[in-house]
Amino acid sequence: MIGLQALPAVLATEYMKLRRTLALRMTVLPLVVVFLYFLLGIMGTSSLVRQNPDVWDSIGRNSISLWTMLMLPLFITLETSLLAGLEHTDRNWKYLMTMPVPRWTVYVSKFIVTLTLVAIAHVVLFAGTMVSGLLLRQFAPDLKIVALPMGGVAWPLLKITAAALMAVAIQHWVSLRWPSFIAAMGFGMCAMVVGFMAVNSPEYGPWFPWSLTLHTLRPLPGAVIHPAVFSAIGAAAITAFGAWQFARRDVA
Amino acid sequence: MPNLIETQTLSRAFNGQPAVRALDLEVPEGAVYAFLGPNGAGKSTSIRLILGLIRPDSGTITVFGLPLATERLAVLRRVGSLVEMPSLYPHLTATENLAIPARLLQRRSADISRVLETVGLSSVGRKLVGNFSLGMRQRLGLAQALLGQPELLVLDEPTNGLDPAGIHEVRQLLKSMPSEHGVTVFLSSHLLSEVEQLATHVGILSQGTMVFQGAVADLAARRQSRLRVIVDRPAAAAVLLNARGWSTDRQGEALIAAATAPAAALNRILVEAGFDVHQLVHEEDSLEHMFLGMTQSEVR
Repeated sequence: MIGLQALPAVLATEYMKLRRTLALRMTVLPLVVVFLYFLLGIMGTSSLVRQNPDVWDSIGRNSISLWTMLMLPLFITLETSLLAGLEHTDRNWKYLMTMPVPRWTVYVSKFIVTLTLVAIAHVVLFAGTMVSGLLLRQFAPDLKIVALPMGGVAWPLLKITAAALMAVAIQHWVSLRWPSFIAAMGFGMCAMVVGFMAVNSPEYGPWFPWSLTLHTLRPLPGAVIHPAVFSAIGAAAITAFGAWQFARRDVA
Repeated sequence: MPNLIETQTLSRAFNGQPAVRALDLEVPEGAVYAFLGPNGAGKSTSIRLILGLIRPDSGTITVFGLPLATERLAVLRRVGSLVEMPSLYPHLTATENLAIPARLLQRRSADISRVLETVGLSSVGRKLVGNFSLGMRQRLGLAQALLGQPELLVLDEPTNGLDPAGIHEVRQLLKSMPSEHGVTVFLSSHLLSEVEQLATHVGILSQGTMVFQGAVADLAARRQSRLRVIVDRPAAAAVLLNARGWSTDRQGEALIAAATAPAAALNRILVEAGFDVHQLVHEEDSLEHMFLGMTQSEVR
């Protein structure tokens, strides 16, 4: 198999490796956010869900904000590290790299798998939020949730997924480049903290990969390019470089 | 026989330390070629170079007559390998572990059953590899190597971790590969007994340099033999034998004579002179002795 012909087969094997992994199980992590806001809603006392007259809108926005600010960077770091760990742990690279497939397909497939896991997590967050809304409408009538417009949750999540591409691409490169789980985690944590600090900076905020997801929620005035578009372009460039480098490196 | 693997002046260093130096390797088609050497001799580096896992600093590698540098995928399609410890996913079953390379090698599930049967793991195909013993993992590693029905097997220490029965089975399997399946086997080992029982060809590596390469029969032909004589008064016996024209050396309480000396005549001379001959043994260098001689002289 050569080039693009090999990509579907390599991708299929990467999905096969997900079976029984923590990486796959972690995609239900957004349910923590959903559950938290469901509890706040059912208790009906929190200003978090009563900060605007449209409680459903408030729940949707707050769930997405909490996920994007606190949990998504951590989720990306963990997922990339866990997926890379599948190969680093038993030094599985040395067998994988003797398979008759171009090496770049392995790199790109693993990147696609990470994106898939992010997408699954966002589907879980979307579905969980919708179910939570239905339950709140049923069991907390005083919240006066009448309609549950899906677009208010789905559209921001779609943009956040796109805006996360560059952070995923960088973290993916780091995780495959260094076998140490701690190195990848440390890098991800530092990037997350810098992302928090940079988010309000008009100079650096629109360009720092870990700030881009937050910028899709609160765009800075005068941004020259949409964060999601910038992230996608950056991710493509970083993945192309990473795959090129991966194909040339020694397998220890 | 044409050579299936050929390297020319292959060299590779790590951090300025040469691991393989100007290696000219020739593995004939249909051979079981054993690559011998002490730890750190460069065996694993050579295997990694041949599999394209690392790139040479200089020199060329040709496999199946194809240059590895430009035809890596075409070569790897015809090669099965096991480098050091098997690369396995402990959270998957044995069958699932094999399904991954099977997909990449475009093999069917029947091939997975076949190789599990070959290595004696059919009954544990559905068990998680995380629960496997070292020997079972090694067998599964061999199954991975055999999965693609390769024309060339490249194995780094294939009997590592196996119990004596397992070692015997794997040896028989590998020995049968050329005749029954037309597969050439290139394996590294530090077990000399393995080489003697298994290999048709041998390459001895010391400090990254090939110190011997050829058929096992050629190596055997280089063995030196001698007569070891144990008598009651070795010093006096040595004087007598030297006076009769047989040169001898003392080695502790034994006298060592050239193998060309006729044992019966030598015995008669000693007995007629009143010596008690306790032992008269024809000795030959063991492969181990030759191996140590070749590799240690390089080290020195």
